[in-house]
Amino acid sequence: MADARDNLLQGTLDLLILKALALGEMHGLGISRRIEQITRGTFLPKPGSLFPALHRMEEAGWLLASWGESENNRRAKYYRLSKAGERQLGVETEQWQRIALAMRHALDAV
Amino acid sequence: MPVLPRLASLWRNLTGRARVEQELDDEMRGYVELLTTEKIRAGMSPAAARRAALAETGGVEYVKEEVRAVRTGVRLETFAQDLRFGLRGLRKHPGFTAVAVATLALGIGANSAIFSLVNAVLLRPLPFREPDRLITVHEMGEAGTVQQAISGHEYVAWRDGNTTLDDVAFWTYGGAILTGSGDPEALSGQVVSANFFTVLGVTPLTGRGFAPGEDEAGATSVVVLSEGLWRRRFAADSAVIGTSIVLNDQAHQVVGVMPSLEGIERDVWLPMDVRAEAGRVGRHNSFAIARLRQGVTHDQALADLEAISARLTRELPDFNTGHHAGITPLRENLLGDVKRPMYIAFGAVAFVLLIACVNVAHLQLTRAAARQREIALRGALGAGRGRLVSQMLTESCVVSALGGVLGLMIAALAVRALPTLIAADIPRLESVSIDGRVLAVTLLLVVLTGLLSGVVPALRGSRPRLQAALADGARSSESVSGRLAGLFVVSEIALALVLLVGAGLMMQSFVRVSHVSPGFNPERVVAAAVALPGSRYPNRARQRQAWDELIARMGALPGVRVAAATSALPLGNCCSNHMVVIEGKPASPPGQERYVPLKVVTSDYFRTMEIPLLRGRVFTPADARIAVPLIRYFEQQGYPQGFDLPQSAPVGVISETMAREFWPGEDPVGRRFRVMFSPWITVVGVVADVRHAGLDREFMSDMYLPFSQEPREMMTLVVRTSGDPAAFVPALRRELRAFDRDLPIVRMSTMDDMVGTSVAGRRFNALLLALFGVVALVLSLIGTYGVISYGVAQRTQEIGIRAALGARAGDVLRLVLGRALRLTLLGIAIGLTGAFLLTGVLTELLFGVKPHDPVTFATIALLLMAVSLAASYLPTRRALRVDPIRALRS
Repeated sequence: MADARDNLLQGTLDLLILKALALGEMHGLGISRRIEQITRGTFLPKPGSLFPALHRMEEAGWLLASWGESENNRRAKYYRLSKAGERQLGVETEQWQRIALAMRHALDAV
Repeated sequence: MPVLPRLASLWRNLTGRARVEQELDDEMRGYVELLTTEKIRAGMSPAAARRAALAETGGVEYVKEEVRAVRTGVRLETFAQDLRFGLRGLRKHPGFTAVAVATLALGIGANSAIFSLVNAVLLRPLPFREPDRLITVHEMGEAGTVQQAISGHEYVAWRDGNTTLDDVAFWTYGGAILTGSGDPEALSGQVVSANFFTVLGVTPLTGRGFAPGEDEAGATSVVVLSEGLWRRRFAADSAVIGTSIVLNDQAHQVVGVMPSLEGIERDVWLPMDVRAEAGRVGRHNSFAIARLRQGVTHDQALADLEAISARLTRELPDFNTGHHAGITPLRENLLGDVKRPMYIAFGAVAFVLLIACVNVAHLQLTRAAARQREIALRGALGAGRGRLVSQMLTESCVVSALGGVLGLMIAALAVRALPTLIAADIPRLESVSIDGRVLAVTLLLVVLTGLLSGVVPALRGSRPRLQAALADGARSSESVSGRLAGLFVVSEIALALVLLVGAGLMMQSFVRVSHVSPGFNPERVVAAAVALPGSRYPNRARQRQAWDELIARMGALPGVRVAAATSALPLGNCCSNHMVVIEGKPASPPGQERYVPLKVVTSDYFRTMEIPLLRGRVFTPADARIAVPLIRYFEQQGYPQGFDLPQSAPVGVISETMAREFWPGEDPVGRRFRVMFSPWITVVGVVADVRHAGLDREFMSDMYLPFSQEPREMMTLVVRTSGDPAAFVPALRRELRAFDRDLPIVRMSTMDDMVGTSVAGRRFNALLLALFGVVALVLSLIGTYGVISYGVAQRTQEIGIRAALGARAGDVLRLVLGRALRLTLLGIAIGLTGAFLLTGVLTELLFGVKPHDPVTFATIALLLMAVSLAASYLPTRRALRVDPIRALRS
């Protein structure tokens, strides 16, 4: 795979965005950097996948968006979790942990 | 997924497009700037930082496009875009649009019209409560023959003995003469048991149905009116309830008005004396309608009723042997006859639509070829193949939607004209309309035709051949695959052939039926059915006297050659069957009695109708006037007054077929027979056969008794005129008024009209199929012409090169015409196979021609061959005139 850093598992990106926003509101680049940081540089979502995901999640009602000043005094769109988004984070976290556990068991099996 | 945010986004995306786009733009710009700032801080030069940021973003426009693709309502927006684009394209090519829309309008319109017919007559539920539980109960003969009429004896046994039916109603025919205010009118009617309306489950518009006990002797005379009569004669006034009207010269109290009982519509309903009817063992002239108990199957009910019939056979074997029970769903009983022709018309019209689709598909295909550069360009600019296909399908759906709108207008016109056009007796025909269901089916047809005519051109036209198309420029040499276009021609010819063979068979049947001799001469004969009111003509003797006088007066009118009367006209609703016993032959065992339809006629009837006498003599006024009536219908019936006096011999005339059936190889003149429980009747003559049941029916046995010995109150006058019979009608009407001004005329028409009416249904079926056949022929002619001439246009260069290299006219001819011929022959072969497999469904509707009639098949095949070659004539001529120099230069 040419660029493993962006080759996210289907559905993983949503969970990573939710997790990144759990700390507070952030703009697109911030989310990108945050994901890179919390996955220890394993994942770096490209704008081509990140922005469609953000807009899709916003339309689904998981994210709320507002316009604010960025660190370089520019207008930027900030995202934060809605109540529905927080619930969704819980649901997806639990799901992912089940899958991870199952995968570990499967791979450890003789 | 929460619905509310979704809807909010949809609303925002569709209405606030500019703002949504602006925000996306701002967001992306902000992102790039933040990234640039980041890189400058990391020590890059501003210009290098910006370049790197842009590169890392991966194309701002690309990201935006990806975001747009996930927006709620993106499909809707795409569709709207395609729609706008499609409409613009159609406006730019009015010729293409007009032809395609007109073709589909014809196909869709015809389908909507025929479906509205099928919907109104066959699909709509009957106007009764839970109509699927209603059945008719009738008799079955030993050989499985349906004998509809049952006796009161059977009715009561079935009604009281069954365990599978909620209730059983009983009815028989019974007209009534309405007098009082206005002209006297002969009303159609049913005489019914009191539970009739309860069994059907109909609610009266006003008033009530019959109450229990009103169908017993001694009850007050009551009547229920139909909505039609109520509106026509009583101005839809509810005050009519409780008042008295005069029917058959007797006061009847109006108790209720019933809404239209589609399929069994009458003017009035009168209660029947069920108890008296039950005592008439062996008199079969009534009918039963029953309601199945909830959850009971037809088989269970049949077994139940058959057990009762078996019991009746044991108890009274003389009357009931061989009379089995039979049931038919009421719907089947009322609509069964019209089902097949209607579904055949529906099938035929679907063929027309298929051909229309093929034509339009070819039009789209040639248009797609002409647009190849545009399509290639759009592909190069990033439109995916799916996007291109959906765009072209949207376009073809726009065409079919326009066709659908126009088609609905055609259907609306057709629906208004249909009842008059059909002119045949089809139940519920007057209720044909464009209702919600017709609209829904039309919409479905629009989508189907849109997809059907668009899918092949869309898949072909969107084929990614960008470089070739762009480089090659306008000269798209092999854009439309010749093979595909050829397939269109083949399928059109095959479809048209199947339809035309069907139409040809039906037309032939109609023509053959029309040429069948009815057995009498219908020219210049007027018939008028007249009923004598029972009150003023109270007994048979008085009726006999009145009719003698009436016929004498008619015969004396100027312009009348001869006048007579009959109890039943040929080709009309014929007469009931009567049991016949032959003297000197062993009586038929119970259950195998022989029945012959009976007509009562006056002495000049055979001369008036010009029915040839074959042997013996016909009736004369000299035939004895005996005590009447002659026939007793059941054994317990009393003899008429004066019957104990010495009687001279009653006489009868029989038809050729009856002579052959009952006295094979003998001369029947002088032999004697009994009708039901009559005294012996002597055969005095044999007349030629008449087609009483219809021109398309076999001859059956007929017997005639003289009116002077078996008078009836309701007879039909037949008058042979020397001039135009239609012009004679007013004089006849005047004379009837002069005789008795309260005498209602039930029906009056010329015999020629009656012959015409008797084949009206057949004629309509044939004309309808022929019409669809012609439309199919014209469409396939246009289609073939289009394909062949397009092929020539595409190969102009090739033909030019061949001509330059020395090809003769014959070679070019072979090239163009050979292709047309190959396609046509293939189409004909497939069509003939299809027709061979399909014409079997017509078998029951054909007359005098077999469903696989080789002459019809061959004629239609030749016709299509000729038409197809004619369609190729112009393109071929064009090919022959190709100038090599110009073809090569272009």
